[in-house]
Amino acid sequence: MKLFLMFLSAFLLGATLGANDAGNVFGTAVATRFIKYRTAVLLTFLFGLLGAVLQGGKGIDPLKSMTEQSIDTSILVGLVVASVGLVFTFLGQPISLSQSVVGGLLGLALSQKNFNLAVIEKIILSWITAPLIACLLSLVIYKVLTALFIRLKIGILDREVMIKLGLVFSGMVGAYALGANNVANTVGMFAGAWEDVSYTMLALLGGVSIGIGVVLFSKRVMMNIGKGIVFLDGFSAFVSVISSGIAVYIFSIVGVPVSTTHTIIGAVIGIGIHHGFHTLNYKTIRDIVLSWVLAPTICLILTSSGYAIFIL
Amino acid sequence: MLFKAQKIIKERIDNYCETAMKCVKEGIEVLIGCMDNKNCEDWKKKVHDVHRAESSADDIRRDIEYILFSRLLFPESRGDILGLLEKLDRIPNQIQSSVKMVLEQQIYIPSLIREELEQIAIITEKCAEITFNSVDLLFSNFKEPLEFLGEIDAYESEVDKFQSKAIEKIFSSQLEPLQKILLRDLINEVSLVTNYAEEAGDFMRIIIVKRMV
Repeated sequence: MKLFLMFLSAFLLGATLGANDAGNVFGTAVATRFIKYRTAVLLTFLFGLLGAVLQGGKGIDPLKSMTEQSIDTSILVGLVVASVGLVFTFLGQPISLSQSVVGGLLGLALSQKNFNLAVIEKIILSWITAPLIACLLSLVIYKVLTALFIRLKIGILDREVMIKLGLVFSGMVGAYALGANNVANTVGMFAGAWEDVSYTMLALLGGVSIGIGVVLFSKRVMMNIGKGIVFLDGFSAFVSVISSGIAVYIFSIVGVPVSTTHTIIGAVIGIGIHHGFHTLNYKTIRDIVLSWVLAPTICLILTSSGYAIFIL
Repeated sequence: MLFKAQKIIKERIDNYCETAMKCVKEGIEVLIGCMDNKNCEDWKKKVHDVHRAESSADDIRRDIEYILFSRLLFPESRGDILGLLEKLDRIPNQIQSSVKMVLEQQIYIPSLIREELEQIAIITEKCAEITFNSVDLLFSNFKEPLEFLGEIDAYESEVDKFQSKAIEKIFSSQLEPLQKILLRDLINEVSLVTNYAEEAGDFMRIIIVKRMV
């Protein structure tokens, strides 16, 4: 029964993450109709799974070492975060599942007074640095690529073809980075409790569940990310996705699970800054930031109360 | 480099520009011919050619529109190409309407304004040629038309000058009041072609600049 619940919560968590975070990879391209939704879903599924299996294991350790949790408490966190994530996904609001998982674990850790402060500090620092890096990257990449594009002797339709290929490529990079970095958020907390299962098997489970979430529920968040913050043309969509993908990939190499939601929004804001602050839709940014704060806080409250009610 | 859809669109646009330019050239030929011959009846067959060229340009434009909607093209490019075609299409339309005006209303062009009208016709042809060439460049090296768009504006201003001069001459002459009005309308009608070319040029400028920032 416990094994089933553990599997179920890991699966739900992965599916929610996939539904919510696929928007971060192809949201800009799909919402602006540069890439078909179906193509985006297929590419996210394949490359997300590949990233999870090939490089997903690295991020599992930091999450595992943040706080020692039993099977019961891990299941509690998984179910709480998946439920909160699903609610936000149906509302079309991009939230950070990484933050929610950390929020949920923190809720338990605080109740048990059992946590590794250094790891928590490292993770929280990455929440701030990841979007900043993505924002900076998008500003630099935008300027560099614009200068390069201007030098190219191409027609407007050639330019379109190049951007289209760029969008597909950046989406694949983004999906790979999503799988590599975020699979830890779905299965990382079970790593300690589920010792007879290898990291690769855990990553495979996480990868598949992310993929299923992408296929089934990702459309609404994709549209919100792509259209809400700032108007994006094809070139800007490409730059934002590739910047976010690179930022997430950097953190995957370091082994810190970060939020792709944070990085894509950081990158899109970078494009907005390039075009002028007046182009940014502050209301959407406010709503998104609010949901970033709300989701982990809700998870923290729910897991600590769930711990008090069901486990203590 | 181009995908199939883009390749087809480029081919059709080349074809459109060629046909539209043919219409302009034939129309200008009729206008100048009418001035020389006095008897525009001889030019009726030629007017039919102008009409034919204009209507095949229309057919190609419709074909391009169909391709633009049925194939997967970026919405921004689709909007830009449709908008540009709409602007360009007014050039052959306007030439055809000027030519029809001369023939249907049997307007006799007096020697008094022949020089101005001839200049307007010659400049109009050059202006249209640069406009359609710029469209071609837009699809091979999208920044290059910027060098030529200034010329379109300059030609348009030149036509404006001849237009004012001709109208002044018409109204200070001893011509019949009705003929004065007819001639003024004709001058205005022909001069509109460069205005439309200028508008197409401005639209191209926006298309280019949008892709440079």
